[in-house]
Amino acid sequence: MTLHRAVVFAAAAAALGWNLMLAAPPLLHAVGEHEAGTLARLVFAPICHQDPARSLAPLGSPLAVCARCSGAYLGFLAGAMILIFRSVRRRATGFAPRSLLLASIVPTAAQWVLAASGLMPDIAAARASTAAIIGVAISFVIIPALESLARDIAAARGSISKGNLDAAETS
Amino acid sequence: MQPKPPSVWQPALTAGFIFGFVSGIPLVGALNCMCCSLILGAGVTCSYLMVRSSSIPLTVGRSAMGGALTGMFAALIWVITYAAISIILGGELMADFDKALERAAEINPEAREAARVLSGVGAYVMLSIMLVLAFFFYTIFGILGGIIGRAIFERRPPVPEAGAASPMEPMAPPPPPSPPDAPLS
Repeated sequence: MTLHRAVVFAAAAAALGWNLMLAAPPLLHAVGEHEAGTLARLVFAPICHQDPARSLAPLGSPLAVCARCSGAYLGFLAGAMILIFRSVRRRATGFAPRSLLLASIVPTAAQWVLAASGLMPDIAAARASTAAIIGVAISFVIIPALESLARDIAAARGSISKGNLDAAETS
Repeated sequence: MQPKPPSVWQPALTAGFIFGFVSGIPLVGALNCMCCSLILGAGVTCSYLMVRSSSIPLTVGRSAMGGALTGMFAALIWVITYAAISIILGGELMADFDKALERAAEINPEAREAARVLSGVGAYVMLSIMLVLAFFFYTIFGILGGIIGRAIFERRPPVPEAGAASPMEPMAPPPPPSPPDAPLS
């Protein structure tokens, strides 16, 4: 397995684990483990307002974080899976990070403005889908950076010279 | 003499203190409810400070380390600020936690019972638990912020490692073959 795939798979696995943790409360409530479900939900209290009225609710019970946060984390997972394909990675990471991140915020900002002004209904699916774009953009910045870090660590350990590492990656 | 890499401590302490303090302020700190945006911002700020103060390009590893330290400091300052403001304002020490429990209780009757049990846990015990959780989450988001900040602000090309041939430099030519031994006259 190449270094590129190893890093991308590791990032995708971490993102999948994180998203599964967010889905733990409704799953635990569904099987009758209500104390565990409540605890699993409270773990994420420091990072989200967790308003049930503004959260996605599969299985009839809200996720551990709100719809916007859920969308962002799912977007990161989707971005990691997209980056598995090297040809897509080359095109996706050709954008300047600043421009990519700024552009990704536009749909969320537009949705917020339109919903706040009453021009469109403020539904959870809209919040989640616009936030997913931010998650994808962040993954396009973070994962190549982690790949670069892994490359530096491998080269510093001397297990393989940087020139040979680059040659192996592109062959 | 090789230039030293940028220090992580001062930028991390500065960004961690500012954003940790802001996170503890009642209304402003609610920004952290948007995917820890304040802590992401803290990591970005730390990377910006490191890029500005360094003569050599900031590496991904160093930006991640700075972000992690920033997150840890921010968690500590957040808890101290939050506790201090709660005490000064005369409010409940864990009012936000009680709100989170109320929201959890809205979900179904069984969750209400579980929330009732948890609300009996002492405020200082709960504050300690929140500190541990904040350390964990703020470190992760600090690392992400640090890496994002480096990607945004660091425009200098990375320094090639010592001894490695740059892709732009031609490879050194092989040494010429040694001449055959001259015949004895």
